[in-house]
Amino acid sequence: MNLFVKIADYFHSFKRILVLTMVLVLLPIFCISFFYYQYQHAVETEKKFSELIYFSKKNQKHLLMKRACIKKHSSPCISIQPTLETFSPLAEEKHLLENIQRRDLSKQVSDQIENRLYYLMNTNRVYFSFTEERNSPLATEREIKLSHPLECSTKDISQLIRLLESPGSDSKNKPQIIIKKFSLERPASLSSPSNYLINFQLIQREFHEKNS
Amino acid sequence: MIEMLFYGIDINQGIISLAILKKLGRGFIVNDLFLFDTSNVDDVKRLYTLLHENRKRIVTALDSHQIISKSVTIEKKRLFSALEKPNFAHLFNLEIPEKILAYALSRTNKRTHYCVYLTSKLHINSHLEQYRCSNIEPDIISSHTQAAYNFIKTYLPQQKNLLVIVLHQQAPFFLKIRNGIIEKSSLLSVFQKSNDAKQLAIELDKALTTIYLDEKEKNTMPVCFLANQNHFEEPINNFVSKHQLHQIKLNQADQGLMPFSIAIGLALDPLINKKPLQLRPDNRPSSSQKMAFAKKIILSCCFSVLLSLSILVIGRKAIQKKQERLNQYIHNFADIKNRLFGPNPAMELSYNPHELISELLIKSKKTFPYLPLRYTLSDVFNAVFLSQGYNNDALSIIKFDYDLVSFPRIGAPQSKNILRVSLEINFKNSDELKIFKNYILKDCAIIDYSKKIQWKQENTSTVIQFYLKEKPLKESFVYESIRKNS
Repeated sequence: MNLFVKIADYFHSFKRILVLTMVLVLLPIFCISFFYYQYQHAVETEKKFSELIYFSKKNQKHLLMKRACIKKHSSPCISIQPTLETFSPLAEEKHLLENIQRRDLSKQVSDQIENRLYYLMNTNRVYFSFTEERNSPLATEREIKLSHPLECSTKDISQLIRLLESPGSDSKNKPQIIIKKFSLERPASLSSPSNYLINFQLIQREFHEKNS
Repeated sequence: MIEMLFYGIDINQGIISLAILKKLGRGFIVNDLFLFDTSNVDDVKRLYTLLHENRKRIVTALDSHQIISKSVTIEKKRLFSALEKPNFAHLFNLEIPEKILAYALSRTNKRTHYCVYLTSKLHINSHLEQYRCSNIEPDIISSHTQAAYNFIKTYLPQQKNLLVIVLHQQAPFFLKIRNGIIEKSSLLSVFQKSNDAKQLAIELDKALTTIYLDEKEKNTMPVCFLANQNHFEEPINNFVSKHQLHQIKLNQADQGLMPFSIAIGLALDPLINKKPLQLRPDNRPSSSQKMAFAKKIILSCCFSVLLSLSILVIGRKAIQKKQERLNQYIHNFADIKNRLFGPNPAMELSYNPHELISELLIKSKKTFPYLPLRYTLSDVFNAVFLSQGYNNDALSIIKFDYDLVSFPRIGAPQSKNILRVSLEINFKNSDELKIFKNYILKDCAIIDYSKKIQWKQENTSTVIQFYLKEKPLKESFVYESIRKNS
């Protein structure tokens, strides 16, 4: 009984009873808020996990492709440049002219053939000039373009495109080739009406596998 | 279940009268009656034992000389008039320091009768001190008048008009009850100095003129004496016969209650009145009030703590469930992570999901932009010139431009693949031109029809410009190679 009276006496002051009321009211509120916060936190985490799993599953193939792509074009790459520089357009015409040259011809004709052969063998070749190189931790890009247009037959065009694209090639360490520009034109000034003047600009990209 | 006991305590010149009443249905029963002599140690011990009872309400009374009372009748005028707190301060034009006003009320059909009591804080404090000496802490401080009225109302309920003379040794008084309500109450100047019966008879004679206003009242208003000593019986009888008064006595069975009339009347106050007279101010709470208050505090604390505990338990359970599901997620996620990113030590899973998830989400959402998602030259030639199977001799290409206007590259990885194709073609046959035009403008699968297609007819040739779509992922050769490997 004395304890009750002591309690009542202690809380007889308005300030104390106010503090007690606040504590009694705030205690459950605090508990509720604490758990609500924790629960919300867990719900959010769960949501993020499910989102991530969904996202990961959805993009699994994409990410695998990324890995495959990087693996395929990983540095150091064998440059496409030497391969392309061996490309010799209008080979049939060259062969024909060489055969004709062996015969006895007038000096004028012989000079013309010699000039043409010289053009085909020396000038009408793939010569590249570099324009720009970009580097990032992931990859290196090198922009290359032809020094001058090439004269090609329709047959040569197919061969050249095959060389540029190298589709279906599974060999590793080949750079990723991006054909930035490719133009073919048939000006009236060309020796043969079936020939085209070709110009192109490429980007060679190779990935640094370690950083990806 | 322990029932509440009502203790009526009256101290009369060193004698304590104690009446213990118990509520019984709508009525009550007199549980016990005691007389204690404060000079007797055994009596005091017994009293202490009785006062130790937990569920009790103690009612005491101020002596009549410490209190002034007035009766007021107010007619009910409005529906909610009962809710209005009446102000009786104007009834007493007395300059009393720290005065205390309280009232007891009784209601009839159309009227509310108030018996208003005036005392001072000084009297209350001295009263409390007096009782504290006997270890009594009253819950309610009432008045002798109210106690006598309660007693008469209960034991002589049929008497609506009655003069009650209370021969209380400390402060004798009378009260007139007319039509069942207190009309007047006043202190008697008799009996103050002596307990002598002869002296009492003489003094009662003297006071008669104060009590009765006229002869007529003598006949209409019978008298009832409440005295706590039996030896007053003779002078009372003499007085009654001398003045030819009509005396009303209690039933034979209740005669024994006479010495305890005031104590019983006090205990009756909280039993029969919804709002008992309370002269004790609010700022001096009794121990039982304190106990009730403390109990409320303890109950509130228990409730709050229990509520908090239940929230803790329920909350923890709910969180635990979520936690288990999260662990499952982490397990699944670890599998996927290993498949996607490989066993990278920098990204080892630990239970710090937020940082990890954010990091992985950022990493995963940045899709690899360097996949070859552009139609190649061969695709363009195949789609534009070879897929329709028309005679190639029918057209001759004068000019062809394949221009990758925009594409993801270092420095601009989020750029879109925009590929523009420009053509200048010479058609030998207008029918072939028509077929080609229909095809290019409607059916070519690789052309982006959301962008404008330029079609210009010149003298001998046709100039066309269009944009290509981005190559679908599934058509990418990398996708094919992955599919084959998996």
